Amino acid sequence: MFTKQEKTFQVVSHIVLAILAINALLPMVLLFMSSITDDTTLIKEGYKFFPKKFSLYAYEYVFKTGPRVPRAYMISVILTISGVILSLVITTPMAYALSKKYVLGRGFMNFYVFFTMLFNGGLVPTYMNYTNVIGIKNTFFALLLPGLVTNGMYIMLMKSYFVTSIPDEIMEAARIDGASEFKVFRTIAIPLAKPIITTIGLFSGIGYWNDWQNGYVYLTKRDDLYSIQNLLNRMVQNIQFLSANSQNVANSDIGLASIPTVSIRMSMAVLGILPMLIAYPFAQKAFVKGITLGGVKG
Amino acid sequence: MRKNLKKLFALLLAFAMVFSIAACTKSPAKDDTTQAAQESKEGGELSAYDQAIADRRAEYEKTGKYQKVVYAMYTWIGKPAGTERIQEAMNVILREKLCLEVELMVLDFASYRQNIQLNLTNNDEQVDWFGGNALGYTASVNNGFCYDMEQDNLIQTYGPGICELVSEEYRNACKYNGKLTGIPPMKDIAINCGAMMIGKEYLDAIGYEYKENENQEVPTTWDEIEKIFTQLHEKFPDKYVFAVGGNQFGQGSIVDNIGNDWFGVLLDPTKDKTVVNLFESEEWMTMVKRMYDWNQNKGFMSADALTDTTSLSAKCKSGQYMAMMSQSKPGYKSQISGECGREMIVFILGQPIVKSSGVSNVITCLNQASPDKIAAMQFMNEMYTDAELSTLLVWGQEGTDYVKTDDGHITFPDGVDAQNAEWYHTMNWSLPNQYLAPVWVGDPLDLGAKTMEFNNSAPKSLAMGFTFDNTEYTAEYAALQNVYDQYANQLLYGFLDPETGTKEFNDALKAAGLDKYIAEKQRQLDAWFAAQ
Amino acid sequence: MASTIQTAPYVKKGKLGKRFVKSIPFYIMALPAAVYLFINNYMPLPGLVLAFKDFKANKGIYGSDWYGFKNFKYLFATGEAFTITRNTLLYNFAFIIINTILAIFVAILLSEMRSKFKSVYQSMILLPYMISMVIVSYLVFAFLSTENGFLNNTVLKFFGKKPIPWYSEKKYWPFILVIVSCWKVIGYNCIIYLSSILGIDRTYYEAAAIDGAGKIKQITSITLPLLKPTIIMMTLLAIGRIFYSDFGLFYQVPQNQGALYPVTNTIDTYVYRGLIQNGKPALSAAAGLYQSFVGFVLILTANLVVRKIDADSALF
Repeated sequence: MFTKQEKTFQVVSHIVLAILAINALLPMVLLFMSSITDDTTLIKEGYKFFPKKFSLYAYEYVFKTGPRVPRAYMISVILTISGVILSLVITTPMAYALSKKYVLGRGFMNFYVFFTMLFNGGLVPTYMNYTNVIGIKNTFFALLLPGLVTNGMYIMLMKSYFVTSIPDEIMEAARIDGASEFKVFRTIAIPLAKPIITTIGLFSGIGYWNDWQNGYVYLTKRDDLYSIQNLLNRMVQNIQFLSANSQNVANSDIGLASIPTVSIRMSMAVLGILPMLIAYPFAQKAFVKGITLGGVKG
Repeated sequence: MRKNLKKLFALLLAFAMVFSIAACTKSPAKDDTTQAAQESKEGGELSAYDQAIADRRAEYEKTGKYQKVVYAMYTWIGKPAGTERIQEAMNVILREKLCLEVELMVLDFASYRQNIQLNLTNNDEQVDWFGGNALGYTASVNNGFCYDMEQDNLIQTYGPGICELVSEEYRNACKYNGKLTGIPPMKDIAINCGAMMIGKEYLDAIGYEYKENENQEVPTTWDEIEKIFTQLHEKFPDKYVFAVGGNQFGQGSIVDNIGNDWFGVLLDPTKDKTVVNLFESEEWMTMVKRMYDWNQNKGFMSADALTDTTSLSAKCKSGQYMAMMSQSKPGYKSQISGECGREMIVFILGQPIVKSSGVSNVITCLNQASPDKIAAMQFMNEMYTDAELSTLLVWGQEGTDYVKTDDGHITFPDGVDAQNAEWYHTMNWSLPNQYLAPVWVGDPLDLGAKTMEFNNSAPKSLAMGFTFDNTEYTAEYAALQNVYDQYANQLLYGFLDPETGTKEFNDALKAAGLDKYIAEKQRQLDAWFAAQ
Repeated sequence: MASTIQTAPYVKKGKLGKRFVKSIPFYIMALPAAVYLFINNYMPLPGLVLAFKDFKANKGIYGSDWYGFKNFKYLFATGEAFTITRNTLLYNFAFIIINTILAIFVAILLSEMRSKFKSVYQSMILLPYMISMVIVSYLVFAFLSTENGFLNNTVLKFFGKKPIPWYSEKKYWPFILVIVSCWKVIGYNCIIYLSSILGIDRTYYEAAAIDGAGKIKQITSITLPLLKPTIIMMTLLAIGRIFYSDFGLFYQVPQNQGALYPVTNTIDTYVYRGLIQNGKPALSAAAGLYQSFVGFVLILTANLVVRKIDADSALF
């Protein structure tokens, strides 16, 4: 039964969270509304929740000029799924290993991970490394590998979870039963770490879905590999450059006059995040199930 | 679809091979394309130009492979669908004429700078020609990306056509520390500064009378514009009169921002060689006072002028703004009218001029790591001189990408428009010689001749071709640019009191090292004049 | 809990050989990530010398001439150096404190929520994290624009107040930037803390409830103490990035307005404006190295302090 304090707590929680949620949601509604506003109206009156004139032209334009949009969505989906799986497969065991205090050289290993969070070679050396040594320029791996698979923060977060939340007694019992460390990890640690694995999976999924920079740097000849965010970002930037340089451009009127320069930015933002919003609840469910199953099977 | 296309390519390729083998084995003396070279031939000995082709032929017969030249170009739309087709069509000609192949590396403008800069740093992919302006010409030179095209007389020997078209004066204007690190395309390099565009319908509504000259421009004065604006404001109180944007001194006056920054300028660049601080000049004060008056007292501008980044023409197109400022050139009226979605009348407040950076602000550079610089230069020479190649590069193939109209213009074939075209990039201005190609509907047929005349007749800045090397002054430059960004637009758009604002601005610039920077600019400019 | 590990029977320090053998399975588990980090982060590291080079393409990074600290000069040479460093530091401090407190607060509310709405709230609060700063800057503009802005046109009008030219009044911006940053990242941070809370053994709460502890008491005596390692870690990590600033937040959201520079110019925006024409990779490499190095020193110091007070929570 709820105590009185508990009840008040629940009510207050609801109110606070509802306010926060609406705060987060309202600008999104504005974003969506302005994406379906007529471009000229948008320039005239600014962004409005209830615009005077609606138009789907911005979306039409994106799909017309970008016949690669469906393909780019597909690339994004494949990239995100494979990225999340790879990321978790690499991050989780490392974090688990770091959480074991008796591991020899743990201090060094921690520092090894931590150091990567502060220093990196910078764009040019990283590019040279991936292009000359690893040789992934203009391949799908250029979207998957550079900078995204795991990072120090994910490892540290997970490690901290393993340290604080997974009682060693349970694992000890398994060890006494003769289970190997790998088995303990698979059958006990992973299922118990569901919350943090889901969280890191989510972060890494958002990271992969939203990444457009790797495509910018590493794809010079494979426009068929553009992810959706990369493609949309290129379109927006090109339109911006085009309108800034229109004095130079011959027949710019033919191209420029037909571009909804303002509303297109909004429609592209919507196109970029919408699939993620729709897929998120389903993905999360499937994901949690997957971890549970994986744990049990192992 | 794709498969069929591939088959087609394979077929084309096969055809091309047969042709080109024939072409390459043909005796060079019989080749009509080498006529010019034949004249310089003595006693059966080949000129260096022909010798290079002959060498490539010999190499080709040995290996069965053509020397490849990679031309990295940028567009607003990424790689157009027709790229491979155009490239192949160009190669059919190039194999025969020069015994080489071109690869068109087409990138979005959005990623061009990063992709090419990384590539030139690392050279993991072959790039021969690239657009130096897209990376920043000074930066390209300072990073050592550009090859000196006069080294061993490369351009004189293998690019005679370029030398003929791009006069020595213009070539000198692209030199950096005495080295020819880039060449300009054939385009307008003069600007007709101070073009104020006002929608015709609004002028008609207030009954303003004007007369356009033969260039479809109306010469006028700032005071006259102010009168028009005042009437427009009375007639249309709900609209903004003036969409302000850009730097009025860049487009609106002959003041030459030498070295591509505003810290030390030539106020009267056709006469005076002294580098001065623009922001302490009378011209500056007059301008910012007028803008302040227009904004704060007369109410010509939007209160969001500083923050609203919508392009000026889009603002005019929306019908909420009536006038904008830019710079004019031949054929500009039809272009800006199209962009603004209504007929615009072009008023001219300034005069034509070629500024110091005019020649080099669109520039093509040769990568220092280019594997075969002779082949690269010969390729570029053809691009400047061969009408067929130029047309392919600019507009694509007749019938597929464009058709001729009755009056000699060209336009889209039936069923093709700007959005589904396979080769319609509108990057003419960045390509070597757009004027060899036919003229698209909307532009005057003699656009090329008109533009050249415009370029030649415009007075030239004394500093034309001067480039400022600020490598040793990056600290000052960074600080100055930050101060400039902080104050300049507030003053130029009339949001800051002209007197006190300008004073604060100048104090901050001086604290950031303006005097030192100007002195260095003057020193380099003097040295440059002495060397001319 | 952390202390249980130390009391585990098989942890006998001293026998190095035995410890090593016991550790082998964990080395194997750590290997894939170690290899990845080596490739992704360590292999490009020698490239940092670029910051000390007078880079020329034909000589390459390693072959170019040494340049000493000349590439760093532009970061310190002028009076602006103080302003940009101050802004960067102060904003980061504010973000660390406010974002942490709020995120924990929301995470606790969410964790205690017994309702179907829980996941709805959670997803909604995460929404802003998914859009880019550029889009955020348009949305902020929609609220703050002088002529058409939602605040001036609707809210202030409703209260009969005069419109405010938001983008030229610098006094509002420290607050606006903190609010925008908070709005954007709170969902992200809150999920991190939430996952830690979900990891807490429920039996603690049950025991406390039997002892008669109310919700508030449970939170202060169980949740918060158990969150401490995560809080310390997140703070340490933020300290390591204290010389960095979110470029989009400080450049795009204030629409690059000159009038606001005194309160919006940070190291990253300063560097961007100074280099936009100068495109020399060596100069940006220098800026990055400077930011990393300061962060490194600070985080080492902070970690040392933490280790003195609470060794378990230290990063290494």
